[in-house]
Amino acid sequence: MSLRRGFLSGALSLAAIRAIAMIGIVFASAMLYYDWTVTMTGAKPLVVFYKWADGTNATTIDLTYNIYANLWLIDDNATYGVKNGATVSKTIYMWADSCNATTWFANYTVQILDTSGAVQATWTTTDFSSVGESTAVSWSQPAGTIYTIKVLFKGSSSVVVGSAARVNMKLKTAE
Amino acid sequence: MRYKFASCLFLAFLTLSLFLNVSCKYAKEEHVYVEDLGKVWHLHNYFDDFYVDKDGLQISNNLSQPWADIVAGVSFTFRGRSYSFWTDSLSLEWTAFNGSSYAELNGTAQLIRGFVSLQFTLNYHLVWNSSYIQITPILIASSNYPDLKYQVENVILHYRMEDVSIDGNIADDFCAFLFNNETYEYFLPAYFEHSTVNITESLNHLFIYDNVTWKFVDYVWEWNYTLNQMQIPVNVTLIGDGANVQADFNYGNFPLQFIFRHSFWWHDPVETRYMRSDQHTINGLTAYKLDTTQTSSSTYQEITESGQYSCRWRAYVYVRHADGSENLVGYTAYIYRDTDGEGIQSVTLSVSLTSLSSTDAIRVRVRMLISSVDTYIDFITERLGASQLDEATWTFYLYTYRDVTGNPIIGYTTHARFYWGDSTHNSRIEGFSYTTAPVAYKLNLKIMDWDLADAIPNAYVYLKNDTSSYMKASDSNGWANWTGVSGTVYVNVSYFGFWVNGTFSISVSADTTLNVRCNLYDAYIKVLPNNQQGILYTANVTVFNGTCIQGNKIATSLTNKTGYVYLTNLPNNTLTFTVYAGSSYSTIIYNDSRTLTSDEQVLSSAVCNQNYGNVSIPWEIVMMPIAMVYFSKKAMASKNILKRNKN
Repeated sequence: MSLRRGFLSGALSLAAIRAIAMIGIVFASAMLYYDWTVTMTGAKPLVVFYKWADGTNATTIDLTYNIYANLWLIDDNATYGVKNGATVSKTIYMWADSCNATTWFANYTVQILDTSGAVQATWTTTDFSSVGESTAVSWSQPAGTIYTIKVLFKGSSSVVVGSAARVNMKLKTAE
Repeated sequence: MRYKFASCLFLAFLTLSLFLNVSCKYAKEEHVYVEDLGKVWHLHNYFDDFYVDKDGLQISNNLSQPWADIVAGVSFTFRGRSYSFWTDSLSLEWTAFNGSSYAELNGTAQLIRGFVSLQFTLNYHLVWNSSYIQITPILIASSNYPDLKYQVENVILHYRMEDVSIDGNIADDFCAFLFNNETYEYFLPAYFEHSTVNITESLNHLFIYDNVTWKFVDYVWEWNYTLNQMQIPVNVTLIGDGANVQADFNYGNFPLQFIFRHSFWWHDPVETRYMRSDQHTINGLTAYKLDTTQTSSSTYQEITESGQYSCRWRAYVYVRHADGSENLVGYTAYIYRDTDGEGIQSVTLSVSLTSLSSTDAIRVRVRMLISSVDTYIDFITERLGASQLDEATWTFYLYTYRDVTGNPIIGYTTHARFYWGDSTHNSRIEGFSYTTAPVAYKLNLKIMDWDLADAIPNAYVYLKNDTSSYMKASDSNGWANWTGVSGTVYVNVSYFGFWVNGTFSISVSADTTLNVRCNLYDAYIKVLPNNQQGILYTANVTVFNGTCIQGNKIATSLTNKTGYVYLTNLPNNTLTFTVYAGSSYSTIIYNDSRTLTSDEQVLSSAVCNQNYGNVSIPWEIVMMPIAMVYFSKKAMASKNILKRNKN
């Protein structure tokens, strides 16, 4: 938020004319790629993680699992769902941003299920060496709905007993 | 010095003499004598825990012990059925060997239920002197009837001495002994898989000799052992197998010699059938019993007729079939009483050879008649299990009674009675002769699980009757089939070392096919990761009856996508559940026990607490504002470069 304020207070007054001239270009595209990310710290985002157990919302979560070599783990309904608290439908993007144990997974899949259990999006990989936003999958989620996160992965023979892997997942949606 | 040397020499000589006096005992060889049958019998001698050392016959591994128990038995085959029985234990005084003695063992074999018994006498003639020990068993068969007709086959004479210890340790030695100054050494066979289990003390050593040359020709080592509470009979033939499993059965010198004779013959039953005062129902008819023993109380029936008449009695003989239908065999002439009196009267009936089914019974109707007034009294045998009534003459002994009361003025009344049921009124049939049918029913048992959905292969099915026990493993379709079964047998089933049904009895009087419903249950178990977040799919759940080795494996299957596995036909007991990562058996991720108590039981989940790693999946949401427009520094830099280039 501080970055945003700084930008607005400085850059807007100095380059107002050039900015106005580029508005047409900006609005010609629904989405732009940004080199930085803007987390909604301190804000009240409309797309949040919804904790099934108590109905609370969160903007960041951490799911923890055990992993066994050569064995599938399936979590049909993760602790949290994805809630669209907006009054309009939202398009949401999902991807795995990074993994610190790229050889541990023979398969890693995250699915988004709608309220009827139908799969709306599947993000999957067998190779964590090439992940990131370019691999994002998306779905459109109606206003006021909560979708289920399903996690499936199969450990490879490289799983190290007693150690931990970390897979960073990201969701992106328009404000 | 010389005196001392002479004394020592004398003592040494004395010691040596004493030693020689004991150790020179050996068997006196004599030919085997086989009486009557003109054929050589294969001689099987059982010595349970019997020990002979170089010093002679030694009981209880201790010469100072003055006694031993000896039991004798005989087994044989009669019409396809095997019989085996033993006498009670008989103590032999050790002093009996010190000179000569004679022991006699008596036994009774009842060949077929309800028939007369075959008796046998086993005489032991024991001779002990300074040069040899001679034991002479003589088996003599006899029966209630002299005209023995059928040969009893495959007679095996057993005798054994008990309460004798065996040295040695099964695993590190071999069987070796001397017999007739020849050394015999045999390794025990290799195909005894479970050499490490505790072996019970039940050992039989079957020595087989050529009964002409007295050469040792074969040896069978029999024993039962217990493997995880399951009795497994084992028969091992030693000859021709170079083996790993070994035992220490060093019998040393084997100075025993046997002479024996045996002649068994059997005959068709020729019985006396008594008219009893009690009743039974056979083939749908309730009637007084016609049996081989008499009751102790009598009864009678009476008819009367006005006037003075002769009284008459006769008997009709029918074959009564299982469905209640009958065929007349014949009937006797009348017995008359023209004057008052009572007592036994007899009449004969020539019975022709009449085929019978094993379920047929013989019904005898005694008709009592005064003028036109009559009555019938019915008697019936049990199902005879016979193939035919022999051609024979039956003699009917009937206790009859006639009494005329009244006078010419008031008139006369004739009373006729028929008495039966005790030794005084001993109405009966003598010469009741028939041929027994071979007892050879089939008993087919299909081993099934609790819900009768699956046939169970490789279950151990035990069948016992009064004389023998048998075991079979069910085949791939669950069948354990026997032939030659009759009477009451007891069945129980063991599966992977667990008794999976209570012993139950079956009365076999015809070919019988049964499903044996066992306590083999199906069960569900869910497999969870250690933190119980999610489930494990394709986990290999394997159930063992003990430790996790292949031989103990009862069932195995992979979990489905709900984390459950469905395991079938598990014994109702406490079992070991082991979960492996994936279909291989290389990585155990869980190992614990569960107790099955019902079919379709959902067992508590298996939480896999071994050999796992951890995965952390942090999520964050990235927002794209659409109401505001941001310019990236890169975009601005590009603009500045463009501007500079223009300049």
